[in-house]
Amino acid sequence: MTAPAPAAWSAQRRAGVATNVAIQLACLLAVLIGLNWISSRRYARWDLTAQAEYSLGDKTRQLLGRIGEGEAKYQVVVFYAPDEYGAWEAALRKTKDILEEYRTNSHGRIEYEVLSLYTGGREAVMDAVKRHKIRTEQFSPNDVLFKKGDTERIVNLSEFFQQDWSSAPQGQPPKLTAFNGEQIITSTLQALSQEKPIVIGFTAGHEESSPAKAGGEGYSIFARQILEKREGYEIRQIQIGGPEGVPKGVDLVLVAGPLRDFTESDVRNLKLYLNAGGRALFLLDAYPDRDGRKLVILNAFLAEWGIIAGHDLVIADADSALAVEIPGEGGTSLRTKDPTMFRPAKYENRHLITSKFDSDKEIHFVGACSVLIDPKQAPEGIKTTVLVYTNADTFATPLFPQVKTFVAGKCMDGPFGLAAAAEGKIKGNAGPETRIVVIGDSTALCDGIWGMKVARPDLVLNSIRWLANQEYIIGVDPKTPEDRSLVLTDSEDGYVFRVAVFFLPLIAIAFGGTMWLTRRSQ
Amino acid sequence: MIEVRDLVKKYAGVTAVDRITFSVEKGEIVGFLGKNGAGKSTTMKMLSCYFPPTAGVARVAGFDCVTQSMEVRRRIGYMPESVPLYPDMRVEEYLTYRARLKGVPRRERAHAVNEVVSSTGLMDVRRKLIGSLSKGYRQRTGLAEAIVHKPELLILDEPTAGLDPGQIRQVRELIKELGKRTTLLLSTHILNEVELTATRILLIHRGRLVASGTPGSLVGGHQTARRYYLEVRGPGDAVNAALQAIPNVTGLSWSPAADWHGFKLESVPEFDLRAELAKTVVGNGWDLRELREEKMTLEDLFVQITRTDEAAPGGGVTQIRPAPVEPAPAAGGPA
Amino acid sequence: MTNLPALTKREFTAYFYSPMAYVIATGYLIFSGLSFYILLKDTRDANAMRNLLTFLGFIHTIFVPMVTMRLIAEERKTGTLEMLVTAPVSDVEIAVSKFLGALGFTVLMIAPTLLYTWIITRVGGRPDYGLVWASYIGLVCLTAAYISIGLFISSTTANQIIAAILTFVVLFTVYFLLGFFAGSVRGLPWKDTINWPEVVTYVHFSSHLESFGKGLVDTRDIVYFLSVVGLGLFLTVKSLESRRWR
Ligand SMILES: Nc1ncnc2c1ncn2[C@@H]1O[C@H](COP(=O)(O)OP(=O)(O)OP(=O)(O)O)[C@@H](O)[C@H]1O
Ligand SMILES: [Mg+2]
Repeated sequence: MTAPAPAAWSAQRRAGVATNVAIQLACLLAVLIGLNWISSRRYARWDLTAQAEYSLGDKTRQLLGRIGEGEAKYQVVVFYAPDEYGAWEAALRKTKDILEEYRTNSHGRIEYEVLSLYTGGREAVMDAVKRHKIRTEQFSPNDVLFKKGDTERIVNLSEFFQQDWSSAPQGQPPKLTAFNGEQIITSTLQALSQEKPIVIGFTAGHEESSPAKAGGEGYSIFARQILEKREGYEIRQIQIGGPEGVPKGVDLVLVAGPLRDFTESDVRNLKLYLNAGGRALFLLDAYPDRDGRKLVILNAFLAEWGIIAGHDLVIADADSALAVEIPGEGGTSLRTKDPTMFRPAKYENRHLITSKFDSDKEIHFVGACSVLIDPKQAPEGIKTTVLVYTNADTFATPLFPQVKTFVAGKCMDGPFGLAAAAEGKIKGNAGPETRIVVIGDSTALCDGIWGMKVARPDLVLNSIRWLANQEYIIGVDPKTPEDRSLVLTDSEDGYVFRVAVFFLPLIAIAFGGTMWLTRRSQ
Repeated sequence: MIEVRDLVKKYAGVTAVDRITFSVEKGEIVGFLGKNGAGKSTTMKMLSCYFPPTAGVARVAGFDCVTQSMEVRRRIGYMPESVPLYPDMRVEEYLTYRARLKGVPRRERAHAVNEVVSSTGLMDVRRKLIGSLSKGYRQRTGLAEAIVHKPELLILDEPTAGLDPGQIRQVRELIKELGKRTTLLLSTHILNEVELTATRILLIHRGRLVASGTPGSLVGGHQTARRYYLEVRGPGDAVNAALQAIPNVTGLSWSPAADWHGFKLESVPEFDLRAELAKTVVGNGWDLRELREEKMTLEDLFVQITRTDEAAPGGGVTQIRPAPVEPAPAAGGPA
Repeated sequence: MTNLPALTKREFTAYFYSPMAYVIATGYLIFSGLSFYILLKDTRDANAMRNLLTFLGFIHTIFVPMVTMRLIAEERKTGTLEMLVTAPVSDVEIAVSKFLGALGFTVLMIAPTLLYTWIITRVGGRPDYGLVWASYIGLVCLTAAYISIGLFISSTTANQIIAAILTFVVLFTVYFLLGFFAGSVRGLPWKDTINWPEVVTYVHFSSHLESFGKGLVDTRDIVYFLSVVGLGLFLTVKSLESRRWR
């Protein structure tokens, strides 16, 4: 035995190994915690769903990218009030899912909570009310509160989605037909993130629809609920005919369905404003000359920019006309197709405003006039585009009040434009680009139409966003959720039960039995 | 091959192995003897790296069993006492699997398995599930598993337990055969098996190594007295007295009978008293029918060592097992 | 690691030699089949997998312990562990092979539930396959974490029943109970620097299953589950190894 005397195994060495193992465990835990810490900050997320339901659009990502570290956190609180049909459940779930994506993609800069008003426990709701200093009287069920510091915006959940009750089976919740959650959340967050609100000047003095007037032709719902409360614009009513012209501080001029023509001084001031890179949105209608008055001066002014607004009424064919409920006597209602209410057939996808619209887009025109372009009339440097088209079977008639029939030679045959945009710099403009949008309809957004729940502000909103240089919001796509509901007939029910509960376990038994028997045999 | 120094293993409360020191050279066949609970299996488990010693050193082929256990494990074949096997595998399947784990190269695997299957007599049951084998065949499977990779050292814990006499003989032959190629450490309770196969014996008792050596030298070394047996016809008392008078006789017991008296005699180990005894009897004119020296067997040694040691602490413990030879203290026996 | 394939093959095939495994698989399929049927009827949603995933996560807290209980406890009981650890294979190989064998068997056990999606298409539903795949990725990750925990617990005892019950208790806690505690952890040290509710929520298994159920595969969830697998395997190796020096 020439080997050196080996060290004996002993209690000390055992203790040494034990310590070593303890250290290893501590190291591993440290590494794992570190790994998880890093992974919770730097991670990738793959959306495998067929429609990429949870992938936020580029525009939203841009916005989230701009939400900086230093700022106060954004808080979103959903005050969910479940209804007995469960109609809102699907919408709430999608809202939650998408809010989770906002939270994830903003790296926690945006937080959200969902409070169920009737089932979620009073304390939690009261606690949230206190924490967010909510004035309860100002709230309605299903309101979604967006908060950043002291600034807040409120949107109702109903604006996030569209439902289809007609195809829902008896006693079943309706199907979601569209989900605009991302668009609304992004634009609301955008509004919150702005230091100074963008000012929209509603012109007054030409019998326009007024943001201050509720009901009927009033614009209070659109102006207050959507533009002010949700999108965060500041609304002012302005006079433009005075010696000072368009007031300072107005970012865009909105002319909402004037019934009286503009004066020469009005257009002179407007021209000065626009030439210097001003922005204006004109919502016109088919009935300005009810009293024999035409918007001669205004239309001539628009023609100078290459946009031709017609003195006519657009009559749709049966396909694109909208079925509406007309309230009759004694609470009855009549469902009928109105040829003056219709859906446009085509959108110009090459222009940003309508770039994301397709022909299924739910936008309605009500009592519209045609809006065409004449590039030749446009000043040098100004580019004009038609944004929205009717279909071939639609016509525009100037023959009031006999409007229902097409008269060759007098009426304009479709397709033709319903909205147009002009943009560019005229000679001598050292400021920003001039932008003008003319839409041949103002009625579709008045309070009366909101009451009928068919008002769809997307076109006007996108126009405003484009005019206000908020292009990034426009790119956010609304999503049409796929219908994946499945109602089983009795025989299908039996089939599912047989296969899932009997047949599949039977496979395991059969497989096991065979295996076992072959194993037993020699 | 094996080097054990001051090896200690304590279970909770029990010291199973108590400072054992021994070494085994390459090529030896070492029999490990000891009563139940002596610590044989425990020592073997430490050598096969199943668990570490509480203190001390155990090395196999120069590698420490605790710190270099992988090297050790590569070199040994080990069959535990209980012969644990996977009952759900077939014999051949199991041997192939184990051969693979033990690093038998793929090309030699089938051959190696075939070889051990035939040498352990498993040919007939090679396709059977281990769970359906009899105890003896399981034992053989365990043995086959231990030798399938031709280890340098084989550690077999009671390899013949539970076998029938024919199988015992076969296994014994196999062990002898294996002993030519590898070093072998085997424990057993069948003493003549060790005498037949082992080149060296390690006897442990209560965790301590109490004897070690070749079977012959062990018995010789532990002989503390020579014992004789005589049958004499004559006057019992006179014979008794005469025999006691012989020098160097240290003990005598007399079983009186009507005709032939039996005498058991003990003397100091240095001298052979047979001639003296014969002379005394015949010289006195008595008849001598039988005179033989009672040689000590391994079994006697085993019992002697383990019993004396056991009786010591207890003090006056009644003997349960009948002893083949009465020790002959000064007491003259029943007169 | 040269022995890994042989060991893994043994661990995997051992399941098929035991009638117990088929009893477990049959029970599992009955339970999950019933959950699927009830969910489909109740939610009327072809994307049943999203809801089913939560159920399966729970069902696995019952059935995975049954799969893992035998891994080491049985070998310890029958003594074959002695054969295994005295063979020249490393403890890492033993732990990893047992993990892989059990994972392989469990994945096979889960596999028939893929037919639920097929059943949905048979009765006219249009499931979102992306969501189905993401859910199964999540389920396998979760199950891998379960198995590593079960493996470790099986390595600490020779009694399979104790191993199974203990594993169930641990899994049920991390999968389910932690969700309740998350909101109410108070009085823990360093509560100014560590956001304990968030930590508890993070450790909570269900919170890492949510995204998968929606059809999202998130590296954070995968990293978390793999961390649990790593920890479980490490503890198993150390538990096996401790026998060599304790
Ligand atoms: N796992 C254990 N826990 C506690 N004590 C043990 C354990 N294994 C063995 N012992 C004790 O250690 C001592 C030695 O046991 P060991 O198995 O080594 O004896 P042995 O010589 O192999 O006996 P046998 O001839 O019966 O096989 C005995 O007293 C036994 O009770
Ligand atoms: Mg023993």
